[in-house]
Order: sequence, then structure tokens, then C-alpha cells
Amino acid sequence: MAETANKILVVEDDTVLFNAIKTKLEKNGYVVILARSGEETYAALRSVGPVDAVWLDHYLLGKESGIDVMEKLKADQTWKSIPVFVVSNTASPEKEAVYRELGAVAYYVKADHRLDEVVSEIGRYLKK
Amino acid sequence: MPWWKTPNPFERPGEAGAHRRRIFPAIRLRLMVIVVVAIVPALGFILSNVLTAENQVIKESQDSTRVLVRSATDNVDRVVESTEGLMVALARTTEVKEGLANQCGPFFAELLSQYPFYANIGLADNNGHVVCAAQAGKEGVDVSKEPFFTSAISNRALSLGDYRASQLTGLATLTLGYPVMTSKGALRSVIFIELNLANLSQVVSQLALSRGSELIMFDRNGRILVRRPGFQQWVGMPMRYTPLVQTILAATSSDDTVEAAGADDVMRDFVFRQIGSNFGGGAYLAIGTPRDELLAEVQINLNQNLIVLSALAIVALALAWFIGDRLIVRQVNADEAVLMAISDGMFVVDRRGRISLINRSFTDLLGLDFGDVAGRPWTEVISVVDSSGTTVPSEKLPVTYAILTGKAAASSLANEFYCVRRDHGNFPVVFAASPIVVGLERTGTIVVFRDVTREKEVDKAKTEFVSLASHQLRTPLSTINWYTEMLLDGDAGPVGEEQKKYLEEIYRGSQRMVKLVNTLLNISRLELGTFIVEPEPMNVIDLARSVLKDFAPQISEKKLEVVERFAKDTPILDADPKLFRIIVQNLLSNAVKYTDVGGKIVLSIAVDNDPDRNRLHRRSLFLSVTDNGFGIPKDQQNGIFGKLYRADNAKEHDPDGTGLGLYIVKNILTQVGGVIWFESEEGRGTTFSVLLPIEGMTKRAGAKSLV
Repeated sequence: MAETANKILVVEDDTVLFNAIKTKLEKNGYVVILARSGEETYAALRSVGPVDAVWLDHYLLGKESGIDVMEKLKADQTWKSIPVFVVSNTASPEKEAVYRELGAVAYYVKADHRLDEVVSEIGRYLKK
Repeated sequence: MPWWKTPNPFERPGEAGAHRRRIFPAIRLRLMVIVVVAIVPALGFILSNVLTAENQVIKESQDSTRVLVRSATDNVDRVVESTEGLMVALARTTEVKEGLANQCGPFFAELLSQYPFYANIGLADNNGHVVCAAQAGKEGVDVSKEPFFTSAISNRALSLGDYRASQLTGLATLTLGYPVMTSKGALRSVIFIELNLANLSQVVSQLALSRGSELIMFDRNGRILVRRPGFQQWVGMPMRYTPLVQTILAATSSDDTVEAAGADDVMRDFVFRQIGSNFGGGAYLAIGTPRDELLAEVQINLNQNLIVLSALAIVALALAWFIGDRLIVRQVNADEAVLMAISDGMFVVDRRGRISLINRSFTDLLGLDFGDVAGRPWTEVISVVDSSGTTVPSEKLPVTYAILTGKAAASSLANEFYCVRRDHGNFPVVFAASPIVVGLERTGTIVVFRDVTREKEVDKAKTEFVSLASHQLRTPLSTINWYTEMLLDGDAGPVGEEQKKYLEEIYRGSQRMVKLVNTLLNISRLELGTFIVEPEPMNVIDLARSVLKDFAPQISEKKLEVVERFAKDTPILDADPKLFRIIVQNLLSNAVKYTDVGGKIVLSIAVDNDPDRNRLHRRSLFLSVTDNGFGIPKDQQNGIFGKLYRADNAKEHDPDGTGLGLYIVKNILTQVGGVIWFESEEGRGTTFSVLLPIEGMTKRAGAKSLV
């Protein structure tokens, strides 16, 4: 099971929310890695190696936002194929448009979606 | 512009500026022109009266002169006739018949002493040699070439000679000749009598000539025979080549007047007549009246009239000036000073949209003086762009609407209009335009516009606050949502039925909170006008059906009957589906919520061509939602589109409503050029109707969309 389990890197600065996400994802059989800033994201990807998906918030610790992280991921040869799911509380359509342009698979406003809804959609995507 | 840089109207008290001077003298000028226009016909009337009066006076004068001329010529003719009578009698005397010098000389001398009127009496033989004469010394003189002799011979009748100054007597004379015939009809001799012209002058001297008039009698050579006044001075004077004599000599029988210079070179109106017309003529008499004298009275009359008229004109002009100044210019100035002092920009356009007045703030805001803009179409002067810098066509501005329809119109912050300043940069602007109505006539439109930089800044701060607040509110709500969700899912261990119920309440409450936050965010964007409009070709009927589908659970729960009345010719509309959805959603949601179980809802979509409802847009998309629900109480219908407004019966039936739905719908429609209205009766139901321009919505970018 450990070999076939999907690895998901969750980039989220709010630890309370992260705990909920981690629990829900693990319950659904994922291996969850945490990063709270851009720097942590890149470090995690380098040390852990390729992951199956990235769960990305907009507001992060540090100077970089989710958009900066997205840009770096998509600019990197080894990382650019990783599907990115943006899950944020920012409902601004401009930001959503930017993420979609950068290649985000989906954009969720946290407050408008159930947690298991997001998790099951990620699952459906990864099964394809 | 920050508030401390906005022009302070108190800074420059009393300065009227160049906005007025070019306009208001015109009012005064117009008044004065009106006065002048009134004076001109009066002047024309007076002058034409003068002409008539002059003609009348001249005619009257000619008539009276004609009487004088006739009387004078008759007098002279009588003298000639009586002289002829004498000559006829003489011709029968032996002295004349025999023609002996020693007999006829004393006979004539005796006769002359009895007729002192004559200067000489004499007889010439048929060869023209003087046989004898009353005045000795002329015997033997040849008179055969004299006109009196030649014409007496040729006419065999009395004939008139011409002027002669007698060498013997030194008297000025006119000679008359009369032929004496033999019993066989041959010419025997010619009797001649020289009239003393001084005596002839006496004959006409009893005539009363008017002042400055002259009487002239002249012979066929144009020599003066008699002239009054001043007989001695003028007698014998040659006038043959003067226009007066030339005209009279050339005159046809019907003419008897001529205006010419008299003997003394004074211009006169002459009336003339031939003398001795019964016996072949040979002299003329003319009486001339100086026109100046004649018309003096008329002239005096004219002068009086002109003086009165001038006085009237001066008074009227002064009055116009005074009224213009006191009653109009000052009043207008006072009114205008108010307009000038308005700290907002102001301009007035006439019916053709040309600028006729601006105020000081106009100049301050746009950097344009009155001279730059006077009489120019406002569309050339005021250039408006949107937030992306694209020129906004003037038809989209409220000013055009007001000019075209005569109704007041205004823009708001939400329109995102920016006024282009000539010298530097743009400023956000709002317009308010109202028709100017004088009496029943619309004379123009007044437009007030305002730099709303500061309002914009406040608005922006407000938007950012709301946006951030929404985000901040959502984060803890997400935590509540997700943790509750996980508890309910049993992610933290099993939960009992009772606890599950409580958790569900928490979850529902949190969900409502999220919706409320989203709605508040929408409202803030609507109010600020910062929401995106992204039109795309959209099937209105499909969208309506999809919204209906969303409400399927509530509809079936309440057993509502839904009727779709969708016109087949409904076109694809170029509109923002998100906004359209919000509109349909809210109207349907209300109909579902406020209709009792088993009620009926009719959703209609059609194209509307009603000209009354489509003043600006020729055609519109019509959408209506009719229910037979609770209705809106009459006394609460006015506030139905207000923010957070809820009718009493709505609160009763749905305590959870926010009172924001219709407010949002109305706001969206207003900003995309649509309208909404309703008809409702409490207990019977409600119909909400919406019109959207068939052209669809206009794209608006660079802002937030509604969620």
C-alpha cells in the first residue's frame, strides 16, 4: 500500500486547516507532506522527489504567494507536470483566472466547498 | 485631486471671470437693437409723410402759380389786343393810308401824347423804310429785317417783335407790327407801336407774388422783357441759353412746369405760358417759386418730427440700457454669480448641444476658458474615457440622454467615467444633466460635473476593506465548516444521533454565514460598481431552465406548478451569464419562497417591441416571473428594492431572508442598462418584469466579478 499510495504536497499556512486537510487526505489513503511557504515547497519537492499532486493555498507564509509558487513549479522541467489544485479563500475571479492560465487543474473557494468534495475530486482526477 | 488642492471659491471673491462678459453685453445689445428696429419704421413713416407733404405743397404751389401766370398773360394779351385795336383804327386813317411823312409824323406825335403807355408809334413803307414816327429821328431807318415787320408781312396780321433798346429814347421796348393793306389787298405799309416795357411791367406788377418768387417775360430770343422784382436791373438780359429758356422753348403744349435756375441763378419751380397765342406768339411768361421757400414749412415740420423721434429714441435706448443693466444684467449677473460660485464644474448647452455658458470650476477642472469652448459642441470639448482609457461614446453619457429626451439624467461613480483634461491627466467624473425649461420651451441643458477623485479613493478603501474582511471572515468559517463536516463524517470517531443533529445545526448556520459573506461582498461590489461584466453569446432559455432545475427540490417540496412561456424567436443574447443567473435566481427564489404550497409560477421570456418601454433601445429582451403567492402589501411596495428591506409578510414566511436579493437585481440591471418593475396585490400574487437591451450588456473589465 505504501508503494502505491499517492503523495500529495499540501501548501497551506494555516495549521488548523492543514490538520483537517491532512486527516481527510490520509483517511482517503494519501501520503501528505506539509509546506507552509514557497521555500518549504521547493525544499520538500527536492528532498521527497516528485509528488502526485500539489494542494495550493494562495496566502502563504513568507513573501511568496501561491501564484509565485505556481510560476516556479511550471517553470521547472521536473515539476511542471505535477497537477496543482488551488484551494483558497480568495474568491477573486482575477486570481482564479491567473491560476487557470498557469495550468491549475481546479480552483476551490474553501468556504464554498466541503472538504470531502475537494478530496474526492482530486481522487477522481488522479485515477484518470 | 486631494481636497486641499481643490479650488476654494472663497479665495477669489468678486472675480467674475471671462465667462460672462462676452455673453451679457449681448443681452443689452439685443434690447437696444430691438429699440432701433422699432425706430426705423417710425423714421420711414415720417420721411414718407414728408415726401407726400412736399409733393402736395409743390402741387398746390404750382396750381396757384398757374392762376397767376394765366392772369399775367391775360393782362399782357389784353394790352396787345387793345394795341391791335388802336392799330386797326389807325390803318383806316387818311394819314396812314396816304403815308405822307409830313402828315403822319405830327399825327402820331399827337397820338403818342394821348397814349403815354407806348414808347413810339410809327409807319414803315412796304420796303421797310420808316416813313414817319411819333418820336422824330427814325425816318428812313430800314426795319425790313425786323421780326415785327417780316412776320406782319408774311402773316398779314398783328405780329410781335422782340426786345429792343431804343437808341432814340433809351427805353426798353417791344415792338408790335400791323400791316396796312390797299383796297385791292396789296401791302401798303406797316404800322408799328413800341410798347414801353417799363409800363408793361406795371401791368403785371399788381400780381401778388409769394416771397422769393420771380416773374420773367422774355421774347423769342430769350431776352428778358419784364422781370419782377427788379425790372430795370434785368430788362434786356439775354437768357437764351439758360436751361429755363431752353426748356420752355422746347416744351410741348402739355408741359407748363419746369424746375430751373431763374435770372438770379436761384432754383425755382416755374410755371410758364405763351403770350399772344392768339396771334402767333413770340413771347413767354414764367413765374418761379423757390423750392426752399416752398418747402420751408414742410422742412420745419420734418425737423420737429425728427427731434421728437430722436428724443424718443434716446429715451428708449437709455431705458433699454437701464433696464438691460438694472433689471436683466444685474439679475442675470446675480444668478450667474451663483452658478459661477458652484464649486462643481458647470456648463450650459443650447438645443443643438453647443456650449453657451461655463463657470469658473469648469475652467479650473478642464483648463479651458470660455473663449476656448464658446459655441462649440460639448462633445468636442468634453472627452470621456473609461477606466481602461477607451473613449466613451457620447451617446452613453447622461448628458446626451438629457439633451435628447429632455429628462434629467446623471452618472454615478459606478460608471467609471474619466474626464480628459487638456493639459494633464484625467480625473474621475460624475455628470448630472437637467433640461432648462423656459415657459413651455426647452432652451437647453445644464450639466454639472464633479471631480470624484476623493470619493473614488474612499470607495477603493471601502472595497479593499470589504474584500479583505470577506477573506478574513471566510477563513474561520472554513475551519468551522470543515471540522464540523469531519465530525459528522465520523473522521474523529463515531458521533451519536443527538450530537449529529446539533452538529448539523452548526454546519447549517456556518453555511448561511458563508452565503451572507458572499452576498455582502457582492453588494459592496455592486454599490461601488466595480463588478465585472463579461458578456458572451448566451441562450437565455437554457439558462432559465438550468436555474429552474436548481430550484427543483423546493418546487417539488411545495408542489408548485411551473409554467414556461418561452418565445420561440428569443435571440441569443450577448450578456454576462453570471449576472443573468443572479437575476433569474433571485426572482425565482422569491417566487418559490413566497408562494404557498400548490401555487403556480409562470416564467416568461420574449422580445419586447413596445415603443413606450424602449425609448433608448429599439428592442429589449423581456423576462417576467409571475406567482400567485402572498403578494407585497401596498404600503410596503415603495421600499421593495431597498437594501435589507423586507416586507412584513416576507419576514413572516421566511425569517432567514436577507432583504438583499431584489436590491442586487435592481442594481445589476441599472448598471447594465436594464429595468425592472413589478405588479403585486397582497394575497393574489406578484409579477416581476425585467427588460434588457437586445444588444446585450457592455463589457466592463478590470474589476471584481460577483460570486
